[in-house]
Amino acid sequence: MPRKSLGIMTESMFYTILAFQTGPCCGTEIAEYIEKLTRGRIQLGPGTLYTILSKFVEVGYVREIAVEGRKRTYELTMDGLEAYRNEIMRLQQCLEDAQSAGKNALQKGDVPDAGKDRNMAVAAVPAL
Amino acid sequence: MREKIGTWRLPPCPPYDVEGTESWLGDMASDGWMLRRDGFFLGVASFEKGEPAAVRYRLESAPRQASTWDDNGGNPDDEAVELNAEYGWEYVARRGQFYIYRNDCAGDREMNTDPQVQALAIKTLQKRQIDHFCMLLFWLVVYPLLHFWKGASLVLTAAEAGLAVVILPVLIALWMVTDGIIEIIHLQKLKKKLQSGSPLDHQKNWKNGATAYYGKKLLKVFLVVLWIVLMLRTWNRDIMDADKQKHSSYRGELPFATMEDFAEGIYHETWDDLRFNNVSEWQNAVVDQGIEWVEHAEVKRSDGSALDGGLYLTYYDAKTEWLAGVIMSELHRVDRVKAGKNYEILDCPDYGLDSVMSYRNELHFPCVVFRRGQVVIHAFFYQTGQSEPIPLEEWAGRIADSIK
Repeated sequence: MPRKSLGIMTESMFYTILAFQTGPCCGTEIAEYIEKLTRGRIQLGPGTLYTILSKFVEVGYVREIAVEGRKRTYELTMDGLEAYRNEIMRLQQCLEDAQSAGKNALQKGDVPDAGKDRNMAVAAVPAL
Repeated sequence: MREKIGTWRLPPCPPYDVEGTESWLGDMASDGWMLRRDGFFLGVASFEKGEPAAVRYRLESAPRQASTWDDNGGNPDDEAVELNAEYGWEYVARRGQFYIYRNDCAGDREMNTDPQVQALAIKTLQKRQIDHFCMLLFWLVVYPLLHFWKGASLVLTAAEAGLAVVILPVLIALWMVTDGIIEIIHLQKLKKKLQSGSPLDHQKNWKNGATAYYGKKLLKVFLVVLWIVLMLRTWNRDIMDADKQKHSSYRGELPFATMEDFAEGIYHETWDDLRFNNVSEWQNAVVDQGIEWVEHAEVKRSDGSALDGGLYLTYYDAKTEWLAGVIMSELHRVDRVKAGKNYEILDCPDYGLDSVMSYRNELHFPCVVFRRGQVVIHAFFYQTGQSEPIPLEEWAGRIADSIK
């Protein structure tokens, strides 16, 4: 029976699965990596991280490969890698849609004042 | 005066009220009362005195069923404890299906930084609680109903053991089912709130509803204790034969005929033993008078024949005719279920009473149930020996005549 997917990932989930691109890691290493990568913008709470790891194990995105004392090390599975790639594609699509919508709005010149700054910022996102 | 170093408190909200529990524990800490390690026992919290401090308490729903009987004593996973400790969150205790952590350093990051991920944890718990609720519903509602259908009898039990023995478990069961529904609804609301991206309110005014919660909790404990005491008392009186007395000691006037009446002759009781010849009398909210009569005797009849047998008779003078009707039908239903394939309807006249039923019971003895107005009599009479047995119509007729 195929395992259920987690559907759309939250930002915390995405960065957690992204952390596994560096190789197998444990909870604290994941939290530290994400904090460093995002320059402190994202500081995962330990409760959130533990829930994400439990869910990832449950749906088969990661598996436990070593236990050292109370510390557990996990690695990404093929399912996890696929989920990560799917999420990247989804995010890319979102970004492309945002860029396209922003350019169209600028060309038409019908950007409402209230949202002008925000839409211009979206339109200014570099193409991937 | 010596300063108090510890105290016990009843939490002001149920375990699944995450925001209420977190806020209450935080307020206790700001008054200098710190929850002790494993400080929840039988629903009561134990605190030790410390310096008043701003301490954050956070509840984490257990990812798997947490029970004291688990191998790890219902404690959280080592990895979770270690991971939380790395960020300043100390595991303190478990309350129901929630692990309680605390942190006394304001600069440390929150335990849960993503409400939607926390919603996933609550969803897991909610699913588990729904499974438990279904099981609870089966054992507290479906199973008793099946049992009832198979022969259990609420009114008859109330008539014999008292209304409280029946009403209390029904009330407690309904209460538990209602509590289960409220918990599931509460978890649903919590999940929705988190899914919408709103974090939990760690400063909730837990005092709202605290009095009602205490009242309900105490009432529930009182009802459970009362029911246990009543059951033990009933059971104790039953096995100690506390309500039974010898026929010779009975000072009341029997409102029905006995073996001595319908087997006229030289009569003597077979065994001088309370187990075989006894009478007990009671009254309660369902019956004004109830009498259980057990009689084993030998009779040398006027025609020279001898009779050896036993009469088991129960008399109910119910509060209303409706109750009498229900008691009668339940008596018959219980006997019919117990007799199973041996159940056999016997012909019997109605003796001018409101209702009469006669059949062979589980022991294959002829049994009769009569009702006249509010009075119901259930009797079976077995006869042994070499003499001609007294036919059913005759002994039943004597009993019927006695209540006309």
